[in-house]
Amino acid sequence: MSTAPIRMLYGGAMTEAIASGDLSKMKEAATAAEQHLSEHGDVGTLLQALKIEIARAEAKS
Amino acid sequence: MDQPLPSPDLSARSPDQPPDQPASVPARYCDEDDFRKLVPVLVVWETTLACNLKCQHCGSRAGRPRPDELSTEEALDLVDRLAALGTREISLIGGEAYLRKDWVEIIRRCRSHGIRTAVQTGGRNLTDRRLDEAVEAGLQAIGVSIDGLPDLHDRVRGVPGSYDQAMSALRRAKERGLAVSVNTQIGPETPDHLPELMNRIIEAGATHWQIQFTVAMGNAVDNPDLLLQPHRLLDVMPLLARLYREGLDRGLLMVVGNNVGYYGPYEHIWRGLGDDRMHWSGCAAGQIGIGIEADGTLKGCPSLATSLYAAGNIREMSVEDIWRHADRMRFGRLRSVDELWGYCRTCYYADICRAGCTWTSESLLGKRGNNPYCHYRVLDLARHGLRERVVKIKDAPNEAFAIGEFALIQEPIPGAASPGLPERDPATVHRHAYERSPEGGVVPPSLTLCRGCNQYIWPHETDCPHCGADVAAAAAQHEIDSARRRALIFETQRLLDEARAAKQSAARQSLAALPG
Repeated sequence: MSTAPIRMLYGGAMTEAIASGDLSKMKEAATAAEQHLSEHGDVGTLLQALKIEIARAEAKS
Repeated sequence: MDQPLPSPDLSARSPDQPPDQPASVPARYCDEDDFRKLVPVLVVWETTLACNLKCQHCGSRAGRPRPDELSTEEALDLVDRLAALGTREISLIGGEAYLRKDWVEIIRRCRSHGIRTAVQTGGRNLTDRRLDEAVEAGLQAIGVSIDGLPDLHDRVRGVPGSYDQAMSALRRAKERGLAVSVNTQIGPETPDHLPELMNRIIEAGATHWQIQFTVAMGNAVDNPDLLLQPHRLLDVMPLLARLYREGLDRGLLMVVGNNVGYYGPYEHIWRGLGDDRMHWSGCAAGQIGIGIEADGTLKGCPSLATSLYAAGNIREMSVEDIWRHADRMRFGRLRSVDELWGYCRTCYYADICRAGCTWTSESLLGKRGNNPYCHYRVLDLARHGLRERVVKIKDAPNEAFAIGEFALIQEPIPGAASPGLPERDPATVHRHAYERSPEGGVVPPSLTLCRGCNQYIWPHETDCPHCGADVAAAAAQHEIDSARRRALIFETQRLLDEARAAKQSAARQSLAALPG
């Protein structure tokens, strides 16, 4: 196919159709990110918590 | 069990790239060249009219085989000729395709040409042996027809236990690695079944769900209570849109059929499955698709009435000549807005929509060019306090693909104020400058999406005729929003890719550090 598709032909046993568009891609990216967080933990949140605790500790010392 | 949804690969894309185009384009996706060069991209082939179901809505009145179905030699030669014309996918239907003794040979010949090959089935007595033979021959996909939960399905399909057999076929096909879809016809009782049916087909492993309205042809004319009244689109279309979105999150992609019409508030979401450059662009029969009856009769679409659209038989003419020259094949390449009538003749979308699905409109009203199964139309009528329903006035002959006739009744919505539709001048309808290629093909026009209201508009519009927005300003704002979204997707993907690469690198280093 040399140019962008302009038509997806409907007919029996349609199994190759592909979801696309920004919404679909954002959902896919969000799913991948959630999976990553479940496997590795939320380093960003931990870092923020660490910085707060460091600041508190430094304030006391 | 939720499952990954087929979607384009994100990893190689940068935020500056234009809207996505998958690296591997599905066989049925068509571009302008397909129209220009008259490529019969998709062939839907009734290989036999033999069937083991008794569907109350069957348009072809399938049951017994036709008396003069193609021989094996003729069928295989037909595959070769379609391959020479550039066909990319063949969908075998019936009747039941597997009731033909040589169906596996046909599959094998299709695959020998690299043609994607699929079967649409009711699933009754689709045994393990039959499935194994088809898979061995190269079958790639199967679509199973399921019209509701067990009671409704079995009643509509005319055979007790047919629901269970259909679900079994779906599961067993999935176990064998076939791509699996479900096809559901919508009648008046179906909408209430759809949410639970969606749960069940997801659990069974379907990745695609095809939705179409039951059409007034063949057995459905004998059973007009199976037809959805057009005004019910008011409640059915929002339900379908809700299920489309839910399915997207659960690994099931709903694909709406050619007769789920047209240009309403969901057109930009589902016709292109998220790619809003794709929208309804008229009946494609005889332009990029062919339908074949089991005796070798060719039509532009497998569902069209034989009496009106049988373009020729391969026993009398070559496939190439029928495809390129037969008038009944070429109607879609030749027609104009002038043949439309009724509401469709004065519609804003008249010269691209061409009254939607020819099969649906002509089977219903006896003449193509006016189609009440249209969301845009139903909403417009409702705004003016009106609705439409159909009433049978003429039976269909006892033949395959026979049509009767229905009266279209426009009436006030009960309890609503009904000012009536304003007068609309047919002469003011926009006409597109269609160009015919040397091969005789015609490329359908592309509409623009108004980013103010998400309704399609003709490209020349500067102010949206639907919402009044400044089209260019709305598009500019959309582009800013879209760029921000693409950047977010890209950055998320980049971080995830880096994390994945770091994990793999650490794993390799651990392996290398092991003694010995």
